[in-house]
Amino acid sequence: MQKNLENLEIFDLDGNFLEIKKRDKYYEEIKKEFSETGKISKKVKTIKLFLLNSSGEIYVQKRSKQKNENSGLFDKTVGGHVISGHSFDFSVVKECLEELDIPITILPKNDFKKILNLDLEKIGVFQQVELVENFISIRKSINGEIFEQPLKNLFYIGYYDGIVKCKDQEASGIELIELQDLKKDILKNPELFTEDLKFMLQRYEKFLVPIKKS
Amino acid sequence: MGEIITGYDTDDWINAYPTDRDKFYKNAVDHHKKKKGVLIAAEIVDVLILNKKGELLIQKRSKKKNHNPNMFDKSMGGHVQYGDTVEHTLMVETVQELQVPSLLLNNTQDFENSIKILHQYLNTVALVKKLGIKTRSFTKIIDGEKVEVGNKKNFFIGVYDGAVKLVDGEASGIFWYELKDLKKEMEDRPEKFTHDLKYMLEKYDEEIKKFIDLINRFTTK
Repeated sequence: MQKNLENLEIFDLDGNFLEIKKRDKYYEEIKKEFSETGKISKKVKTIKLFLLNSSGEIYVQKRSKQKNENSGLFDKTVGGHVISGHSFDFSVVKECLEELDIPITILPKNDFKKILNLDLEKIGVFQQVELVENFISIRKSINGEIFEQPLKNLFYIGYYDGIVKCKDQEASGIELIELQDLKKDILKNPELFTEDLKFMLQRYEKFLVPIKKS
Repeated sequence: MGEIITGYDTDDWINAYPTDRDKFYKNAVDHHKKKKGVLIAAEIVDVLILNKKGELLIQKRSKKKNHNPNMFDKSMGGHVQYGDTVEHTLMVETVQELQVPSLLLNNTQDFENSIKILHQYLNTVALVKKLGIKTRSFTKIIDGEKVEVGNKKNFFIGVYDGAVKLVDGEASGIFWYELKDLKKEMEDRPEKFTHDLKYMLEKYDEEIKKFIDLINRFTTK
């Protein structure tokens, strides 16, 4: 199904369910609200994640230049909407298959600690890191305008040692980079990176670690 | 056992000989340090791949590589092992790096017809044609030092529209670039791009543009 025809669940900022809307209609609405009032009073559910390999290198996605927002910028590994009727976890499985072509599972904290017992070349393993009720995603449009969108977002971190694909519809590239090098690059050229990525690096740094000797 | 590649002396491009890869580069660096000039050359296959939108596939070399670490490079390339043909090397490189077979079509008419007929299948096969052969030296960063290395380069250009895979240990990044964006970034940060890639874009500018036109002609519908 075309992405802009997907049904999304809409909530107010207190978390009350309002209605179900097609994605394109919802975005039309909140863009109008933002340009008129400078604020958005509704939110949808989203997921954002970092994928690492077991030596702790991080997959960074380069967004396609054809995208309306944050075009051409380096971003977290994967992000996406939770379609109406889907769970956060299901959405992560779906996005990883669609964007990276990899099979993954999500484990509760206690099981996640045991992931070295699994063959990470065969399956990616994620854990939920934090649910943020009103995460403000700051995005830059093509004409340079800043757009601040509240999201009910669940962050994930996961590991995979197999081969990752870059499907060129979604991204214009993918890079595997060590945390220290990524931080250096951001200091040098902060304008090349999305605010989502910078936020996640800072807030979840303690999760972005090697789990195996490289 | 080391890798045995195809070597030449730069005063004789007819008689190829087998040479150990590590030894070859050790000697090339040694000649450079002693200011003896470029005396030896290695035979190479270099490939530029474009997708159906006419974007170029650029790979970022891993920072762990001894040669040109952390730099943006052509889509793929490799040494011609001694005894192998250039065509064989090309086929092996595309299978290893894209995990797709390539078809080399040297006849222009064949190539155009293939794109026309197979444009829906370009996610399963790369169509490739020859750009040219050059014998000259290229600047390489070897263990942190700029060294001139002799090469017999066999340049190819091709079209492929499938997903590209990031194979750990090979490239650390893969990117699709529009030609104009790539050239702009190259101007802004020339030190980030390999000499190989710069040379190909400069030398074959006209051919690359014609190639993009050809792809557009048969695939945009």
